[in-house]
This record gives sequence, structure tokens and C-alpha cells, in this order.
Amino acid sequence: MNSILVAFDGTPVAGGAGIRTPVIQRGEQVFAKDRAPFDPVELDRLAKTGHVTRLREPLAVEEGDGLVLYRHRDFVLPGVEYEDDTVTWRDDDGVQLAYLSVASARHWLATSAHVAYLLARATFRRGALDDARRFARRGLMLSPGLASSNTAAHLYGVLLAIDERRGGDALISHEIVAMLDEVRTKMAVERAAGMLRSLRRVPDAADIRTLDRAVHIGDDESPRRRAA
Amino acid sequence: MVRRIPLVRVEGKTYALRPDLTMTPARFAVAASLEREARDQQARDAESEFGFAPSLYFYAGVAHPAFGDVVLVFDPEASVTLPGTASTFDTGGMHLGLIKGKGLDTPEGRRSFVVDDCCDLVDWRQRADAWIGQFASLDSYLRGDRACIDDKTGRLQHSANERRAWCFEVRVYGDRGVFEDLAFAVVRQEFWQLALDESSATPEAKAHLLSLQRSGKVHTCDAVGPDPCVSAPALVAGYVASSGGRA
Repeated sequence: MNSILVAFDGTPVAGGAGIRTPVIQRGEQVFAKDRAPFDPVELDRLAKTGHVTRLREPLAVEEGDGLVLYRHRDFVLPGVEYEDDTVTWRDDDGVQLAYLSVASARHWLATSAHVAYLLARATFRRGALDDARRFARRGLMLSPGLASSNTAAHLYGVLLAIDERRGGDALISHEIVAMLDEVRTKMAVERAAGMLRSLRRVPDAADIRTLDRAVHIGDDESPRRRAA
Repeated sequence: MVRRIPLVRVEGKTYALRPDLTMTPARFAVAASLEREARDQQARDAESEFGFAPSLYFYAGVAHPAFGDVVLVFDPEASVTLPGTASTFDTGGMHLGLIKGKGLDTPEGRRSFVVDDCCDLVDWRQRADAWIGQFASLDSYLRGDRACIDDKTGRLQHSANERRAWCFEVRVYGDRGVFEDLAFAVVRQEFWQLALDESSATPEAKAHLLSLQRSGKVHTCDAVGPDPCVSAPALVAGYVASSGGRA
């Protein structure tokens, strides 16, 4: 019997990306994790009362233990896109959605957090500190197991370096203490910030090419070369 | 002596009548007010049907996902001095006839039952404690299980009813600050990061968010972990237990 993704629990956060629990219709019944199967008519009521968010167009999916991945339209900064051939996104009312296995979703989150770090580091090098901060925050939204994540530590390293460059109020240090729960993770923040502190010169074309190679996770052609 | 059951309000869904009052990360960052104006038409209709003043809605202890995924848990002490009323069910659902039971199938029957069941906020803590005592345990009530016994309507054991037929509802007749008497909040990882980002331009706002976090008042759900409403029951149970059970 065909399975159709018809809705998901919860609400996408404007400007965010993350995971939601799928609501699947199979024949005359609707299934959601931790809930007894129910009638599709009941789904209408749940959507009306705000229990679930209905998809504009239902999506045929494979059976299995899946998750809904979402990416709000404001999540990706204007003008910045990267190839992402691991996920097939579907547009749905200003939100991009994909249905993935738990393992694939975790992989996407981890990969995207790493790409956000590369972008944050590169924009820091260019001196675009606001953009660097936004990339770092987006990476932190996605990092699985944030409290002990190496990628999260690197992302916080960028935020720490931004704060130092701006002669900031050191609030980021308090945040790092609160969000990361292992000493070695906190040490990784320092190392990541140290890498950025050592960048004194303005980046040149070679740096940009290195960046393009670094952030490119899709087909063989780099985004910059394709645009040329 | 009554258990220290907190007031819980879930935010995050886009309000149909006042989308500008939706609890976004930006509004959270600046400690926006929880406003009665945000309530939907169903709540307004229920208020005029049952004679309640415009209200800010909470459940005793329960984080219900129908309203979003920003879980706000408040200390209960101050609420007893506020104007307002409470009921042993969701009055919006009762107004719509979604709660099934003997005598509840006509508007007149429902109105009469609501009036009989209603109490003022000064009494809500004793009332809620006694109400929750009818469930197998506090955890059972927080999970949404049915009570062990029934009332004269049979609503607690009625197969067509779900937890909103027995969630204890608290209505405050006034607006409140989002952090006023806040015991703790449970939010998604992306929500928290966006809130911190939004507060970047205002050091005072950011310092306040971080002080909440340092004092253990903000729980962030991991990107691949359970969502806030799923995490909340255990945290609420821990809150009640940390108060020494009864206080």
C-alpha cells in the first residue's frame, strides 16, 4: 500500500531549519509517531486546531522510520547556495521539506553544520563579520549533539573571534560555558578562534578558490566556476 | 499542603487573528508580553458563551503541542493573587462540543456544567492538586493518561475524548511578561540560536537570555532529539519533585 506524507507535527521556525515528526497516510488511516492510527477526517480537525501542519501537496514516501526535514526560505542567506544532492527538497508555502531516514537526516544536519562553519570562517576572513555571525548561528541551529560537538565548538570559535575583533562584551564566553558541556569541546573553541586570530592579511584569489573547493559538496563543478 | 504544580503555556503557532503576536525568536529575545489579544476566535467565542473575561490561557502542568513548540513553565505562587478563573477541562473544546459526556451534548448543558465546575484563581492550586490526585500519578496526568475514576458526565473515561477533556485550564484575566515568574522554558535548538542571534544588537537582551540559561531556566532540545512538548513532562515532574512534593 502506498504511503503518503500529508502533514508534520509542530511549526517551522521562521528563519530556521530542523526536524519535525511526520504524519503519514496509508489507505484510510493516518499514522503519527506515539499516536494511535486515526481517520483522515480527524487530520482535518487537527490541522484546523493547529496540532499539525498540513502539506499543500502530499508527498509519496517510502515506508520506514523517517523524519521531516525543513528549511525556511530565510534560512539560507541571499545569494548563497550550495549543491546538495543528498536531499530532494520540495517547496511548500515558503518552506522546503524533505522526508529522510533518521540516519540521513542526522547526516544532513551534520554536513550542513560543517558547511555553515566553512562559510562562517570564509566570510570572517573577508571581514564580513555580520554574515559570518549569521552563518555560525545557522550552523549551531543544525549541529546534532551540540553540547559535545566538534563542529559546534568550531562555530563558537568563529563567534568568539568575531567578538574579539569587535572588542565585544565577552557575552559569547558565557554562552560557550552554558552551551558546551565538556572541557575538550571548550578547548576546541579556543583552537578554532586561534586559527582565525592568526589571519592578519586580506584574502587573495587563491584563498577564494580554496574556499570554493571547501564549501562544495555537490557535483564536480564548483559554484564559482559554473557561474563564470 | 498542595503540590507545586506549575502553570504551563505553549506558544509558537502562528496566531490567526494577530500573527504579529506569535512568539517568534525575535519576540522572545526582547521579552515580549504574552497578550490576551493573541487568542483565537474559538477562545473568544467560548469566553462570551461561558461569561469569562478576556483571558490568557495556561494548563496546570501540561505542555500541549496544539499551540506550538515553545514551552513556558511558570511558578504557580503569584497566580493565586491574580484575577481569573479555572476549569478541569479545556473550555474551548467544551464550547465546540468536542468533549463528550452525559449532559454535554447541548449548549445549555455545557454552560451549566462549566459554571458548576469553574473556580476562582485564589483556589486553583488546591483544586488542581485534588484533580490530579484522581489520576494514577502526577506523571500519568502529565502524559495525558485518563483518570482512574470518572465524574457524573463520564467524560474522563469516554472513548471519544482526549486529554483536553481533563487538562486543568487556568485563565488569567490580564497580560503577562514572558519571563514573569518563569520557572523554565523548553525550546528547540533552532529557536534558541535565532533568539540569541536576534539579541546580538541589544547586549542587555542577550545578557538576560544567557542569565536565564546559566540559571537553568532554558532547556534546548537537540536537533535530533525529542521536541519540547515531548521533553516537558519529565521536566515538569522534576520541578514538582524538587519542590519537595508538597509545599
